[in-house]
Amino acid sequence: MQIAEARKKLLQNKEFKKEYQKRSLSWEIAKMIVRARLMKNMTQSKLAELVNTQQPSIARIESGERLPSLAILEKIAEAMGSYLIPPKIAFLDNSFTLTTNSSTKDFLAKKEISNASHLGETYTVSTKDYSFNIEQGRLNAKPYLVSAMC
Amino acid sequence: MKINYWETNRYQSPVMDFILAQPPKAGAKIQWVIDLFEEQGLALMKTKFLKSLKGCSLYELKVTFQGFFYRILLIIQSSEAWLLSAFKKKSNNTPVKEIKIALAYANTLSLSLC
Repeated sequence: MQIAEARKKLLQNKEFKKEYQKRSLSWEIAKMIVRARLMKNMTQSKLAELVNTQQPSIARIESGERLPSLAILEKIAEAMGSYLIPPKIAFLDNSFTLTTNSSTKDFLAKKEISNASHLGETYTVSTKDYSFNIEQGRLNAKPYLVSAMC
Repeated sequence: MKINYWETNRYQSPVMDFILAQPPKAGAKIQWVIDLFEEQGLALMKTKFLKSLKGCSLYELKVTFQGFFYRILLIIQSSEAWLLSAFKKKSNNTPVKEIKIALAYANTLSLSLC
């Protein structure tokens, strides 16, 4: 039986699936360090020397038994000639994209619709219209655009 | 590394049965190490997850979880790995009994051993 098929069979077990898909943080970090160290072709003791610790502490991080401190992770990243991307809470990441979308695009769209209905006309707002000269805008008689800008 | 789970005539894999018999979290960790082995291959010899046993082309995957030690015996031939048997470690040496079981399984594969 190949591994893909075996994984599918194992995931049919509900309790196993729950634990397997939880992606325990210490395991993910262990995986990351193993990958990085093998890519750089370092030994555990050499890495420990660069980070100023003992070899067993690197082995402990790699086993996924303990969660290492961010300070040590930063040192490891620096020892490999790189830097650490700061971790973030998942829900913050999602809501951030939502708010930026709703605040800018929807706000302008609402303004446009309310003013346009007042005039009884519909216009499509292009980006060029926003950088127009005010005097020219008055001449063109598009008052709804000025209100949308304010 | 291409990984296969060895199966009996009745399509039962001893390693898979062992994983399901453990507590779910321990089973998940065992599968996690197997996934890592699939990704890294023999380079995993440089970590403490993979170790070669003396003699035949027999290897063992070492999994630690909450003070318990699990072992999976496997055989590697021409960049293909066969997971043969698994057990919970209790003594310092790999028990000869377990090695014999694994070799008996490996003999059914018609591979050239040793």
